[in-house]
Amino acid sequence: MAWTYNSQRIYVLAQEENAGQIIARLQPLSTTTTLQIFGDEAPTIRIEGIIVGEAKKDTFLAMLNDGTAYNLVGDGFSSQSLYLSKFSAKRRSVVWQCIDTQQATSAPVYDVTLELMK
Amino acid sequence: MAARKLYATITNCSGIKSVSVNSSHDNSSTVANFEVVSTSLTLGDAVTVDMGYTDDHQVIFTGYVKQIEHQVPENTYTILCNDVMVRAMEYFIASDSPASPLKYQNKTAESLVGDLMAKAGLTNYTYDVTLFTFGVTKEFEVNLVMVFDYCNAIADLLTWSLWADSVGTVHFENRKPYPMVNEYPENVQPGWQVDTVEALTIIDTMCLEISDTTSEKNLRNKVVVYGTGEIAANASRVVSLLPAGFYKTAVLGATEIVDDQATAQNIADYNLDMFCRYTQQVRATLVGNPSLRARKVHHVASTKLGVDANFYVSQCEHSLSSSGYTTSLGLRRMIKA
Repeated sequence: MAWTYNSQRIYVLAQEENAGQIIARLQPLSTTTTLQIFGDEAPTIRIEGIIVGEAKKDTFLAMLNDGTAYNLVGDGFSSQSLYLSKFSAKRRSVVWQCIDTQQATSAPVYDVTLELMK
Repeated sequence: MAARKLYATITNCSGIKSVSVNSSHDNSSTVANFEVVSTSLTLGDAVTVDMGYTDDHQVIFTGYVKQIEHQVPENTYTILCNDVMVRAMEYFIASDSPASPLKYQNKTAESLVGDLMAKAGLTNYTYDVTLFTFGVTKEFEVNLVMVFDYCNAIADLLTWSLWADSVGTVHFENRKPYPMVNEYPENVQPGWQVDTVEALTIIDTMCLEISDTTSEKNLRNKVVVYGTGEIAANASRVVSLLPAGFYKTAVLGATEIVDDQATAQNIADYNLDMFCRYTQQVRATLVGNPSLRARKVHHVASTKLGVDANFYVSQCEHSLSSSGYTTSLGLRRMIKA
């Protein structure tokens, strides 16, 4: 299954998930450290990949300020509704692309990083 | 290393980021302050705070919302609450007509306080018997005054205390800001009750930090009593805490009621015994414990400080945040010099 976010095609090169638990460490006098669990951090998902076309890049940028969660689907990944919290795009020096055959061969190609939150 | 999961619920709030509940013998009302991500609370809403650990938590605050601050861009709410005593603090007694003010006659102090608290909607009320009756021979008025100010003035007159506890019950009791009976039973007055020493002893392994301060600020080693006419008496004591020959004097004027020399001398001797004391204060920050409250007596046994005695909890603050749950105590006792 192809990777898409809000139905926008991404050619994924790497996917990373981060999660954490908030643990306070208290040190009483004359005895061992006490741990207190305050809560857990919801996982964040980081996607590195490629997108093709300036309009597609603009579509991602627009998703940064609409306050809406969108579906991320992909190969071996359970579909999840996630917010796009950060997006960065770096244009590659490419004169001819054949990655996305739906786009013109002259369309710009971007290395992108998406940070997504539940 | 055992880990305990923290627990906090606040009425109509979610996403609790921090909670602080501070009560003190010297403050008229317990204050709760919390920061949350989401709330449907509005000003004046009733609030309870239940906090501790998932396996041991208690209601440590019952009160009302007094202030709400909405912060952006964090989009969080900081909410300030006072305990139920705020109803009495903000209830102003004003009769509809100056010609017919609220009047009482032959009314015991505890009954008067109970009646006035009820006017402010505070009916969960517990008290000690004062043996004081006001307006024995004629009526007296209660008008153009806040309920709390009036009742607290009565408490001050009797050197009693008036407060609301963590579940919203108002107390009017003979509660001095130090262990009252256990250490010096010879100074016990009628109506004084033996302090219940709580089962929990404060020891070093509970404490994140602990300090001990002694002060002679309130010590008086000489008492002078003035009675009717020429009647006067004094009592003094040499104490090693003060420079040789130096006296800090308290004067008691009772010209209306002390009309014989022996009584004046008894008053001077008794009060010297009460005044000739210095204060020992311990401040301790503990790993959070939801059972701790202000106005209780605990034994403190700290080998680090060399302290081993009963102390009165004059201040208690519970704080819970991502940095952990701690309880800070201010503890006090009086020691004969």
